[in-house]
Amino acid sequence: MSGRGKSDLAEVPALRLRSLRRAAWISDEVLLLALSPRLGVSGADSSRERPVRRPRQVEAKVFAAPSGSIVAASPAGALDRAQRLRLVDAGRTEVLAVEAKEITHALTDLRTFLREGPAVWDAATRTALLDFLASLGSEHGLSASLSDGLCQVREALRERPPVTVEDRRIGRGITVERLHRIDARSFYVRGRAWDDVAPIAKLTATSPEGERVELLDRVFRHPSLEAGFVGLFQIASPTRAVDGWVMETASDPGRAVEAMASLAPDPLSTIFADADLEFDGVETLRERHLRPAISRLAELRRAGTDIVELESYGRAQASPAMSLVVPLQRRIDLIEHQLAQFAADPEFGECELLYVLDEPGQGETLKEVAGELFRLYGLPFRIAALTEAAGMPIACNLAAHLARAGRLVLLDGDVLPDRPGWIGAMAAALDASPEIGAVTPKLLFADEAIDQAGLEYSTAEESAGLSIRHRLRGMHRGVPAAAEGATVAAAGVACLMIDADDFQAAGGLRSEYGLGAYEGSDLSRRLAELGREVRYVPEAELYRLKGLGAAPEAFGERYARWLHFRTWGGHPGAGAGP
Amino acid sequence: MTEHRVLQICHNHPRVRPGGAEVYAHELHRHLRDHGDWEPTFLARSGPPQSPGGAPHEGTPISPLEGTDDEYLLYPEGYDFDWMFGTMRQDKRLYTEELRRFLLTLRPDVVHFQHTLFIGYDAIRETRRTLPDVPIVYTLHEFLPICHNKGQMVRTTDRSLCTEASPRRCGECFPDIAPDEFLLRKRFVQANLDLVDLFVAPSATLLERFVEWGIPRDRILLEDYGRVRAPVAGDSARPAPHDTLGVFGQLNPYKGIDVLLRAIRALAERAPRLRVHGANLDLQEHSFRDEVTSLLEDTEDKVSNLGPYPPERAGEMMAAVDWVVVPSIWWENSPLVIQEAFAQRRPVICSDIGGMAEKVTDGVNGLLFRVGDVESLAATIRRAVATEGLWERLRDGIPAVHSMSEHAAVLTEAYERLIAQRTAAAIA
Repeated sequence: MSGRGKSDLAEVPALRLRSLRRAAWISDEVLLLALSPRLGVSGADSSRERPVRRPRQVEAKVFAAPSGSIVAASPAGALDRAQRLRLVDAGRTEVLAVEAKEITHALTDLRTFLREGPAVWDAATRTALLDFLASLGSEHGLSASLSDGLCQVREALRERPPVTVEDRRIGRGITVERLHRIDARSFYVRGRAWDDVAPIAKLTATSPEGERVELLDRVFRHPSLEAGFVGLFQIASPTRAVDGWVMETASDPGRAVEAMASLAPDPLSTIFADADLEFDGVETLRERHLRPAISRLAELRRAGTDIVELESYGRAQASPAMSLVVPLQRRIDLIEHQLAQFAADPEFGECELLYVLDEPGQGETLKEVAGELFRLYGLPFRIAALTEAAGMPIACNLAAHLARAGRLVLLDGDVLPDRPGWIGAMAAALDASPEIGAVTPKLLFADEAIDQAGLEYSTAEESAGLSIRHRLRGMHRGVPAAAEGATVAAAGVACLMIDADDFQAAGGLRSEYGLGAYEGSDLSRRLAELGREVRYVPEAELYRLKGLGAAPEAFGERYARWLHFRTWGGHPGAGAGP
Repeated sequence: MTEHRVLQICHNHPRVRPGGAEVYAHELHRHLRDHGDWEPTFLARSGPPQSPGGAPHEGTPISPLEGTDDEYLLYPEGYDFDWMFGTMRQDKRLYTEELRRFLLTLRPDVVHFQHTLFIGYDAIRETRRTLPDVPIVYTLHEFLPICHNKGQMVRTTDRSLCTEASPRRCGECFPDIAPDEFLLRKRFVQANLDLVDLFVAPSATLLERFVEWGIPRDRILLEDYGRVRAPVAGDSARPAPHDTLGVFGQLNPYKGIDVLLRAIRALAERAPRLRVHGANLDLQEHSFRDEVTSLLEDTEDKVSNLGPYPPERAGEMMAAVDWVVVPSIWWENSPLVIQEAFAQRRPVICSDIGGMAEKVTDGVNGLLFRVGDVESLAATIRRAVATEGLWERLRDGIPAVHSMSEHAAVLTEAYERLIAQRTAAAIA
């Protein structure tokens, strides 16, 4: 306060002058005020003020400590020096009444503000202050500016145990293999923490904005990593920064070590890799950590993804009988191969063909070639694109809303018909009975073996556990059993015909299965709940060329299987339900 | 009779780079131009890799061949030919703009594809799109639609002969390519070839292989190549001893030049003279070039490496040898060099497979040896040059060569029939 002029002092009550020591902007919006310890928060006495004019009331949060108090307020806009501010807490109790110009006189940079006050406080108080400040993100919304300011504060105030040397031979340490953001407050971590002398008593994550969360009782012991831990955790306040996470472990006071961590991309890869582990207790890991994380990611993808029609090529049927929805899954070159087959199929005169690009970055390339493909093949088609790479289920669900026909064929880009006539055969089967909700063809491998003739459930006695199998897989396409139409337990979505109303009534495709390809089984079970069955149509034969790499590998298959049976129980005939 | 227009499309022009199929196709074009009621046009692909030159006129990839008014060169500069699928992958404007414009300008009554290599199967589709009622004819010169290994049906693993393409077997030949891609390839190629009205197969070997592959038998016409030159360009009989061999044509790994040179080396002092008239060794992979160069050095006292020859001088070159050797390790279709040899009344020593064994009858008009077998070839050569009276006897057994007049008559009759069928279908 030594820098102030005498004339300024005269305008402010002496008591108040002593109460405000320093001020600093922690962000573009949030102001920190350091108050003298003598007054404290509750010691504010507004009755002694002599209001110059009606004060502007500003809500503030107060952190009270023996060494002084820190008040955070968001005065909304530039301070008017002539204005008088009345800072109140959530209970409308006055924290401080002050002339705005006093604040401007007290202003300094954030580093100085901290150095002159909180930096010299004891560790416990500083830690508590950091938690307090981290909560500002919830109060005021975590802007980039506030995130940056909080990061600076954290680095200035936090305790610093020794940094881990990443060598397992060292007796004590912590490393973070993966840290992923699930949403603004949820994170997935996989790492290792060890102490060869004493049991680990604490495992703490500190967000870049300074919030500390204790993980030891939340995370799961990783079955494949020595001293490994894995799990989902939440923080109370949001965080924005990618870098600057601190993971700390302590076996007892004074024996702590830390490691820095940054957020890694592609959380699903890590989560599904962990989800595919098999060990005692995996149920708990999946139930408490993996499933919530995957569901949340799927929810965010659904909410954050829209579909836009890029282009329409040629004049399609105004009222098509069938809409073929083809999610492209990166291999946009396969359009040409499908068109080469479809162009010779007279049934396409009654169909609309809708390609869905789920990799927005390929949009321009696709538009360049699509027009030429139409000119060459003469078969009308439309192209829609997702705004995010959200995956096949979301692509199909959104594209179903763009489809003009009342009947859908979900078709993978790597599926090619063996010959014309397959659409008619499947449609006839679907029309055969109102009890039929979806139909599936005979899908073939390139070597004429059957990939699937519908899906069937196996019991635990038949295989190592409950599973869904591809019917007749590996048999030659001509085997008599494959020539008979049948009601099947389920169908995949590589090629599936279903009425649009039924698709919507069943809720479309579920996107929580990751890349495990259980969406069709899930849809089939929901159709069964609606009283509709799935039929296998042997007359419709198509190749499914999975070796082309158009569809992602069934990564996370174990998890998907677990989720399916967790949701639906065993065989549909077994009476188990969700 | 109304004059009809036929457009031949070929992967190369013999004036750009010599090659059997293009020489034949060009001869057919010239014959149709000079005889009968057909107005032919010849469109040949040019530019790299056949020639270094680019399109002479900005804004169009097509230009007339100098000195002609019915022959054009096509320069697909900037287009990326995909060997696997036989298509310009990224950009289809070569077909949808350039070829379409050319077709609409010429408005041929028949389009006859002599080859689609470096042009793309899409050219067939574009033709069908642009001229829906015009018959499309396609001559099968080798197994390229079936086999990704340059259409040779020879395994990359050990250069052994292949008899069937399948995703599994093709995947073995090309382990870096997923087997499923080969089904995709087959379906793509077949989807385009389905638009062809008539295929021409110059040998039964080829015909049968394509029938097995999926082309309906009734859409393939078995018709050998015709040749323009007179069957006997003067009697070029040579006095004994008949101990000079000649080998003619492309020098690539499938033509078996290495097998022949090894046989010559094995015969050592007993080896006859060999005249090598070979082209395009410069286009081959380094390892093969080095191998052939080394063998030529080893046999230089017996072998004369005379380089390529202009097609019109083939007869003259053959007249200077006693035996023509065709040592190919691939099936061959209907080797023009055998026709050339027969036209010059020269017995042929050739591999005992495919189109070669179909054209040459062992002990009647030539001698067969086990394909790829150096010892068998060496023994056959010894027998040829050492057996008194054999050369004369085989020479007397040489059949008449299928003339271009006969061949053109067969083709134009087919053209007429296809036009009538298409017209009737259009009216219906």
